[in-house]
Amino acid sequence: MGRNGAVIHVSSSPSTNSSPESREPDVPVSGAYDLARRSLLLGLAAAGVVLTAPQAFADTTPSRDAFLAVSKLLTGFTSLDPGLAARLYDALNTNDPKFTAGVTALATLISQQNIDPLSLQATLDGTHSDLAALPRQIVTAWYMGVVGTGDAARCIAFETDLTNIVVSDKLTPPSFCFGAYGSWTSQPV
Amino acid sequence: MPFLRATNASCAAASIRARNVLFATGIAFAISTGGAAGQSSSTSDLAKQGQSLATATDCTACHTAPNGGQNFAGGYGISSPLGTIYSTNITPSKTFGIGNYSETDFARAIREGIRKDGTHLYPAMPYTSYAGLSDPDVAALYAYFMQGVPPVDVAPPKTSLPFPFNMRFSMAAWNALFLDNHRFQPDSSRSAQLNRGAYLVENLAHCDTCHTPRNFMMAEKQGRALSGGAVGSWYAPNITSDPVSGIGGWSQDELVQYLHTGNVPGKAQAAGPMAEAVEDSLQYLSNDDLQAIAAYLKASAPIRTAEAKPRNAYGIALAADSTLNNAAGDMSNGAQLYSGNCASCHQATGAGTKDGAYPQLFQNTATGAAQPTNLIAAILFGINRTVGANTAFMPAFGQGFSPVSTLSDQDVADVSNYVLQHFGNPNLTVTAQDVATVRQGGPPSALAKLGNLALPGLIALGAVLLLLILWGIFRPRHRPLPG
Amino acid sequence: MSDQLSADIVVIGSGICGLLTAQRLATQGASILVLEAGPRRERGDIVNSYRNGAYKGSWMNPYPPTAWAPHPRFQPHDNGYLVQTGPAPYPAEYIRMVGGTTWHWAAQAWRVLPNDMQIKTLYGVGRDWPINYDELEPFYYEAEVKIGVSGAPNTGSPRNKPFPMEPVAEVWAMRRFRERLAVGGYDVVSNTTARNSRPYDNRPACCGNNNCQPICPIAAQFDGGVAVEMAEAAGVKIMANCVVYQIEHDAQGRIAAVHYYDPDKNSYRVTGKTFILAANGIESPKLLLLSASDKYPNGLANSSGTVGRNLMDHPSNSLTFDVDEDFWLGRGPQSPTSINTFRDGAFRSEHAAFRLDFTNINQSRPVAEDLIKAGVYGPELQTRLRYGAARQVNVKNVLEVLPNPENRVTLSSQKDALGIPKPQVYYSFDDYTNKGMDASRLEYTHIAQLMGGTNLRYSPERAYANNQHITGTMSMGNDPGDSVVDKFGRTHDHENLFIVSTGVMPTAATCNSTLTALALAMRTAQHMHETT
Repeated sequence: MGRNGAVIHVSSSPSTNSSPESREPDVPVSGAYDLARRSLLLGLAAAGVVLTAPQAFADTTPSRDAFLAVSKLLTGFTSLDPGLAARLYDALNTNDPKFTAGVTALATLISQQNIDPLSLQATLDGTHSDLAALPRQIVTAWYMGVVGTGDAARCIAFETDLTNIVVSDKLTPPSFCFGAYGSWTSQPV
Repeated sequence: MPFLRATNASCAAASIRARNVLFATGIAFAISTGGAAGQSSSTSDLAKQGQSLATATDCTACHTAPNGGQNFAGGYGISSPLGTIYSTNITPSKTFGIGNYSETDFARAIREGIRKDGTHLYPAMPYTSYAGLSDPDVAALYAYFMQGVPPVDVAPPKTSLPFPFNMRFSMAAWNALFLDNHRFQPDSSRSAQLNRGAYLVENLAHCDTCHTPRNFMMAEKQGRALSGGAVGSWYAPNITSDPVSGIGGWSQDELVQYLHTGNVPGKAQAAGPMAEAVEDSLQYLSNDDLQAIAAYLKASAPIRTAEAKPRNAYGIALAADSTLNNAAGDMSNGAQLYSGNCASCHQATGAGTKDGAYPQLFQNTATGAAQPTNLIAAILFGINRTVGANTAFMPAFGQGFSPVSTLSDQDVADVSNYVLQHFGNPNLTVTAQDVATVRQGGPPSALAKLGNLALPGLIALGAVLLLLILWGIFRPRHRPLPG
Repeated sequence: MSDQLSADIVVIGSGICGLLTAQRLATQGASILVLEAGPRRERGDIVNSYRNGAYKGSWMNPYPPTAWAPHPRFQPHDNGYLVQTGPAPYPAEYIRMVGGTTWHWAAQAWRVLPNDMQIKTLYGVGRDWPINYDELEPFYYEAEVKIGVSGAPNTGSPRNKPFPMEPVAEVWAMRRFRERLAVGGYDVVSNTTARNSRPYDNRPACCGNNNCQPICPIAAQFDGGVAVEMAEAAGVKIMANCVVYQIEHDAQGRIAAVHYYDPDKNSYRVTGKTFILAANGIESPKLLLLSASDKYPNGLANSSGTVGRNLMDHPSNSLTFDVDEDFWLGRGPQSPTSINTFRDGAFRSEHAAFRLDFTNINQSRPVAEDLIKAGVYGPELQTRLRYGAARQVNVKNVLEVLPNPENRVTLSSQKDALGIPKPQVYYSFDDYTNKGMDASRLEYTHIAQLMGGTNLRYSPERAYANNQHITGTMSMGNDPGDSVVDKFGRTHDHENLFIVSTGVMPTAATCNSTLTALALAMRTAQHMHETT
């Protein structure tokens, strides 16, 4: 069997006409960005010390705070599982020793220039190419549960990755039972 | 006592191993009912009442062989600790069944365990419970088996237990000790419901056959009624009213739901012989009868056994992040087996599916008991319980042909311990030997070990019997009604 | 030599065809040894590998190749095992492991149409089979009972007995496809699958893990793992990690033994009375070619020169689009539904016939990947992820290609770790295929219209996905000059060598090939029982 209907052409411009009818109450919609922004700023306040600290102390709690703050902004979740955050942070750091410095710089840049997450990638691609790969790494870690690329790619999370969490009111992660035989015949509501 | 309506009982008590049937015997019975209906012009009202009673007493559970056996033609091998006992043909076949039995012969067989030819039955046939059946009930059952059941001229396999248990006359001595051949007497000081419950639990439904522990002579222990007993590979738990060890913490509704469906989400699911009892028999009982059983159990004498907490009071869901599917190769064998074989349905958290179709493992009687027996047996033999239109199915992981995965004794021990540590009674530890014991049908009885000594054993047995008979003569004869 | 290195019947390959043929013959009393090149693994271990893998979109994710029995893998990059030389790739994802490639199939278990077996006579294309549908029908049924098949009552393949099971309960989204496409004249039906709609043969009913590919965690669908248990229960002995590299014949041309390497390249010889080659449509011809000798310089069973030729598959193109209501694909099994009305007709003289398949694979992961690739972050990421997971659907075809001798498997000059030549494929598509693909695209467009589809994304033109339905490379036929095996699966050249495989199918027909290969294998086993 071919997977998922053969070759899927990736659209470079996904529809912006996206408004699902129903949502989980705890998934942020309107105002979430502001919340995430506040959270980022709080995180940066905690991380502030690192901006002036010697390089040798870069891999300390403040940089984890910066990671968490940037993660909230990028994922759109105002609260993230601290245990998973620690595992992802460690994996990203192991994958790329410069990650710590990068995520701290990214947090600072976002804060200073007040960048909206939807324009972030274009901004980085245009003027901060040294940081341009970071958002995808971070979001891939949270949403796909995967850190690293090619042969070095590792799965850090699966049933708790955010892709599965975002749809968890409607779907179960593949390889986990949906429910009783035939429970899929009803309309998803 | 009023004439019984759809009463019921389960001979599953005696069915010591789980039966591997695709179609519930209850369905097979329904088919036989259809056949009987075809003869309705010649079937008396009494026989129809008897048919309801036979559903109630669940004769078919033992007397119809699994996987397409003919109704009531016997041949079902009941593996007892002493060897395999084959059920008899109880169709009205004049050659191989009970076609030549008078009603008196019939009554003697079911109440005293003595066939028309004088041969003794083994107490795999729960005649010690049926001894209490009322005369009208026995008459109705007789009418049904003679008029409503088609004769099947087939001889079931002969039971041949090893020496000395093949000497059936020894059952006479056993009966002298352990058979209380009196009809059920209602207790006028108790409600009609409790009396009805007593008749169902102790006689018709013979719950005691499994749930009352047995002494080393394989007879029910006096004074320990319904306090739990080994049933082959399974364990029939304490169902006295004790709030810790028994069902004292269950509501009346929960008990009725369990008896009716075999499933109380968040608490208990029937497996093994109990699943058969629900499937073949209890699901067809009237609500009044189920209520009576529940009321009687809740009013029974509480007996405290080994449990430190109620069986459904252990464990909580695992935190999502602690499931660590993806840990770097440092998962224990038990954790890996759980993830790979159990978590799809029971979930990594142990919480089961949202719709309750696949049960949670914490606060579940199978994982919180004082014995790991039923947890091990469920893993080895699986579950296949059809009630109404719903089938609860768990694949077997331990049998010769386990299409999902075949687990070794050590694997079953490892995954059992993972489940017990995370979701159930953490004080238990399962060894591969424990699993092997369950796999081979439970521990052999002391009597069987004695029997293995053959001739010296027989002499010893004779001496023991003699002593017991002497003791029996002087022991109090009546069994007080619990509660 | 120890006793275990000899048996009445030696089977090379432990996929569904080899194992169930072995099981049938063992039940009839033969001693059987199955040699499998790859390792043995348990279902739970594969499930864990799936969950812990980084490339969940690849059905090979939980099946890493071993050093001694490599198989093709294409993610994260082509491992170079299946050497490609043609203008079109043939990226077959087969599994060398005890149980074989059906560990990761979707259990589609179709019968061919009677006309599929005589397209040369009826339409002037391809070739005819040496048997007709009626001869195969009883063996189809036997195979269906063995693996537990259910399906819609009428998809054009006559049957003498009803399916062993009712069709699996209809997925909501598929019901909506059926209802809405009926308006346009499309007949959307339940797929014929080896998936349980009730407990069957000690296996549970489907409970919607939506993971048929790459591994059903509960064996609710029949797969290689179940075949292993069935064969062993019948007394078949399976030996893993035995890489057969040569089939040995005697002076008369009868097969005398096979030789295998263990992972350390120690060599062993296994003797038997009868041999069954069941190592799939690529590895089996590879082994026949590898076994060339002075007497058979072109390889065994190859007097016709057709071993490895006529390589076929069911290539696919597809359309992905957003439907105008919430479907939430991923509830229930992955491959529930299809359209079968384009599988036959006069058009087959002009272009390829095809089946149309609707996926029910959970879309959230591919949608999330696309959004991340597009740089969509923040609350908008969640919003669009939910939208895509609810609305994204896909329809693809499973299309019949014609046998072409130039499309073939040969031996590469490259060697694997044990020094065995790797298989090499040459593959190309012809106009007959392309025209069928174009016809399919017209249907996709119509279907999308009927479904209120937006954001239509067609698969690239002239680039088709592989479905690992490896057919044609050891074709059966009555003429020893243009076929490898006779109509019972016995090689024309070696009296005691039989082949059970999708590779013996003379044409690919219009449906997934496993059940047909299995039915042919049951027929072969019956013939062996009667004649050997």
